[in-house]
Amino acid sequence: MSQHAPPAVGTHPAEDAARPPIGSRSLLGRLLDQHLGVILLLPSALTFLVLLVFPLGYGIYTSFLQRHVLDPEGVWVGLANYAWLFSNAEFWHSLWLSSLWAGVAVGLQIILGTAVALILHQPFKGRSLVRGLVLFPYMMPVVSVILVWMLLYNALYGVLNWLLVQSGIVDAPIAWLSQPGSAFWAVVYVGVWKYFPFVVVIVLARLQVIPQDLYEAARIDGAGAIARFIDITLHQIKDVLLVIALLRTIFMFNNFEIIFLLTGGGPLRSTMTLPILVYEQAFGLYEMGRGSAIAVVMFLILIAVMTIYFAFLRKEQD
Amino acid sequence: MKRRDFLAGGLAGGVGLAMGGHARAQARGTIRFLTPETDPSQVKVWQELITRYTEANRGAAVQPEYASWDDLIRKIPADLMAGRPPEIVAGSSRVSFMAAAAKRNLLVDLAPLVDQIGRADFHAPSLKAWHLNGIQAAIPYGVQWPVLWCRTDLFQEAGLELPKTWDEYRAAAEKLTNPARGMFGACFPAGRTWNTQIQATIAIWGAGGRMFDDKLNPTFDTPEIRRAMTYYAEMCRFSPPDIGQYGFREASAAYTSGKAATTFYWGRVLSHLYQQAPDLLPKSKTVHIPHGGTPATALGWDEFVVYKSRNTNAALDYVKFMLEPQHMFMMMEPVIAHVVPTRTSVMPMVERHDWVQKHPDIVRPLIEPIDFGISATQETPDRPFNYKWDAIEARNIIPDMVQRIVLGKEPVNIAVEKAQKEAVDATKDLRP
Repeated sequence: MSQHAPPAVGTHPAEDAARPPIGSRSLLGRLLDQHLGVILLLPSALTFLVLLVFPLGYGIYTSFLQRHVLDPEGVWVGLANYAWLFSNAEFWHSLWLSSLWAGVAVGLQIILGTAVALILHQPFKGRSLVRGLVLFPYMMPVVSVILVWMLLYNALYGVLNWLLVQSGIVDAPIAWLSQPGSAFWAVVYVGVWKYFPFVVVIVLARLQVIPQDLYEAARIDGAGAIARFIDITLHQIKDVLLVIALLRTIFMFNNFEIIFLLTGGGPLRSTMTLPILVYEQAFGLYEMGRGSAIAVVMFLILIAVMTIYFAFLRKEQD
Repeated sequence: MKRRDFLAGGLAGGVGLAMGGHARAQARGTIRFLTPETDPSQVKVWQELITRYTEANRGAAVQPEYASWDDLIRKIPADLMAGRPPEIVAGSSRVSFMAAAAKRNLLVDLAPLVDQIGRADFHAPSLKAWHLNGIQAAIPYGVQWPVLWCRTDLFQEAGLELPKTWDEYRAAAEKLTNPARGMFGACFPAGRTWNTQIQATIAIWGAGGRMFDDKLNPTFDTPEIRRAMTYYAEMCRFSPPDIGQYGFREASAAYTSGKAATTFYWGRVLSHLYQQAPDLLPKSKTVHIPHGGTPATALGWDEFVVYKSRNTNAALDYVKFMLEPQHMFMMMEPVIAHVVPTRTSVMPMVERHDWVQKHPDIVRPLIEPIDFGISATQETPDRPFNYKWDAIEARNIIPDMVQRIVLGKEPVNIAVEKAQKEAVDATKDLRP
């Protein structure tokens, strides 16, 4: 490019005139001048590669190795970890539990969250305060929530058991987290309680932009409360509920901390979901290859869920 | 300034700062110190030791990190995978895991440090227990064993003697259990925890059983182990309803909250009583764990392990500092009688402690030498180090067996048979 080249499209003539001739600038200056955009994008691109692409690729690579956690190198075993996985009853049990956990917890979060959002959409005294308080479980750190719930569930000095015994509903305290029959549902309850405010916030925001004249028109046409709810409210919030269902399913399917902190996967594996099985294989049994194979399968399941969701969404939009 | 020049300047500044930060981090050479000893009073001591050390050694930096007893052994492999293990680990380093780490050349041989400090002052059997794969893999600073904590007032009220045998303990537990009053005679843990493993192991040894034979073949399916598990399940009936989750803290809390008349625990309960229930101190006494024919308890250690890193020399220096008698005593003071110091020169300081003087009935079984302590990696003295034990621990084979019997109501003979199968499967491909 010569000094007499036409100015670049989009540069101001005054700015161009003030710039020193290119031949007089240093090599670094010229490099910066020509590639500044790329250089500024590099940190983001590197971050993406280092924090997302590399761990994912490394995890997939590790799933083909037999690797003790203390060994820096592993032995290539091909698909052996996957063969072990699919023939292992524990894996199928955990897959079933993970699906049940995600399905039930998300379903209840949506039902409860939508119901609460509908209530909070109605005018009443102190509504702003209640709207703020509803967010409380969602804002609390998970570890604090778990400690509180462990105390509430405690069989010796837990409030829940104390109330049940005092009110005569049960004769003796119930070991909520120690019995295979009740532990799963006790954990689901905490999962629902912690995350239903997320649904409340999103649904409430959507409810506030539904045009009121739709309801008035329906009323004039003689539609009752149930018909108005199904035909207008539910129809209007359907898309939002679908997005919530997708996001919450991904989150709950991958959720580790609630179950791990409450029960550690027990008792008798009654809460051993896939993330906890990954942890047990990788850091309990030191089998990084098998742990990675489970994680890869989880990743594929979630990709499949997302694909189905987007296909469904596209169909709806068409 | 033009926008492009501003962005270019920002970029150059950012790169400069990042490089400077990295250089500073390298120069500092922070020692990571990981421990599960997290009672607030103990955390205070760790902080105090760090302050003293860093004041005496300008430029030194020690970063304390805390983890729970059950999680620590899982946190270390994660750090090793990341290529940056903690330089020092204090406590909870299971012997069998350390043997695997020593075999892979991940640990610093601490024998020269022992010699430098004075080998003669150390408890020789404790040092020997941590001499693994040809190196001194750890320096134990305390040796310990659990005992049975008993509420003497409740025993007296019920006209009972403190138990020595399984039959006496079973009878007492039954008599002391009153769920309507929220009182339980025993506290047998059944969580998928390390505590359950230790207590079930003691029951097995107390029945004369061993989990491995002299050739290190698993021997879970034996009359002794079936008997021990039958007794364990019976005693769980007199334990709090949520024992299916019990680890160390819950077992101690059941006693200090006044809900359990007895519990298996180490000396730490003494400090818990001082902090949480001083009214129970005059009503408490310890005895050795009742047995089913063979007196037995589990030997354990609190120890320093040094992982190989670029800060090895600094880490060794800090370990040496912590092993000085007055500093060792500082570490033990908040939980006095929880461990017996492994340095002879520290013992007189422990004996002079106020709590030891005031509560001899509690402290004696905890600090007086015993000859029936067993280590799982060395069930009898005449056999080799059991390198297979790590696989049993890692797979939770014993807690799972207990849970199947206690929570799943599986017949003992079937649960024991399954445990044997699992043990054989877990150890069949292992080599020394």
